[in-house]
Amino acid sequence: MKLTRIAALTALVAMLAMFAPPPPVSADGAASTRNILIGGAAATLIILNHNRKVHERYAEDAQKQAALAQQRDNAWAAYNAEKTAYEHEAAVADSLRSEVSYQHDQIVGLRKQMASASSVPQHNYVASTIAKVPSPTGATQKVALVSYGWGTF
Amino acid sequence: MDARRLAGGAAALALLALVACSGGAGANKNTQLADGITRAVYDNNYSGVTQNFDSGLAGQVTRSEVGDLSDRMHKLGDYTGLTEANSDDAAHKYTYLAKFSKGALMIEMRLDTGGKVAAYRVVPQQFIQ
Repeated sequence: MKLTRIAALTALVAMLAMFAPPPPVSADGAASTRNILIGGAAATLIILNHNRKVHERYAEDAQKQAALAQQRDNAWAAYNAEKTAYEHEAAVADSLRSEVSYQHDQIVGLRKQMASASSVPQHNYVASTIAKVPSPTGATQKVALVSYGWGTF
Repeated sequence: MDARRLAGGAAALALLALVACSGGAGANKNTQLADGITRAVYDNNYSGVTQNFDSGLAGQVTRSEVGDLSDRMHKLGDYTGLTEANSDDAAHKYTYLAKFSKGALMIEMRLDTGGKVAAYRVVPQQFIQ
């Protein structure tokens, strides 16, 4: 910034010198023309140098911005990668949790079935019972009879 | 000597009578138990039916089943009592003939080792010869 001001001031001084009233001609024309050319060349060099400095600064800034952007992009990409990995792990964990929950439900259901099967008594209010009855020939024979009641023999 | 023999004989007879009476008392007790359950069924008395059942058997009895069996008995008329038809003391199984004014039923009863009823079943009249 300081160099810019110096360069602008120098250019202003040079232009003022160009528009200043000419001094009394005390020298020859060739010397005056040489002085003008030298001053113009100096101003041109100063301006060119200033422009170069400015572009260098712009280039540095652009490089810094590019580097920062690269870092930002890298960080963003790294974040996205970590996020994706986490989401995959979370999905795997959810799947495992669902599987464990399903298996737990199955176990609870089977336990309930076993408990109900063992706690409910065998119900045989109407059942067949074996009895010895006399046959028409006089001998006894075993026949299955329908009976009502509770328990078995 | 004869007096001693007579005394010994009397003691033996008394002992036999005592044994016979004890066995008969057991049979009467089981008969009374079966009679009480049968009367409770006839009267549709759920608690009377299950009060002498063991815990496993009592858990199987429903009021509707007692009512159903009571209806079947009432179709045979008035209940007049039962008599023992067969017994198996080793297996604690007993069979009775329950008499009604218009028919009869066969009652089967099994006791557990504690004297509680472990099974009680009724065979309808049409199957009794």
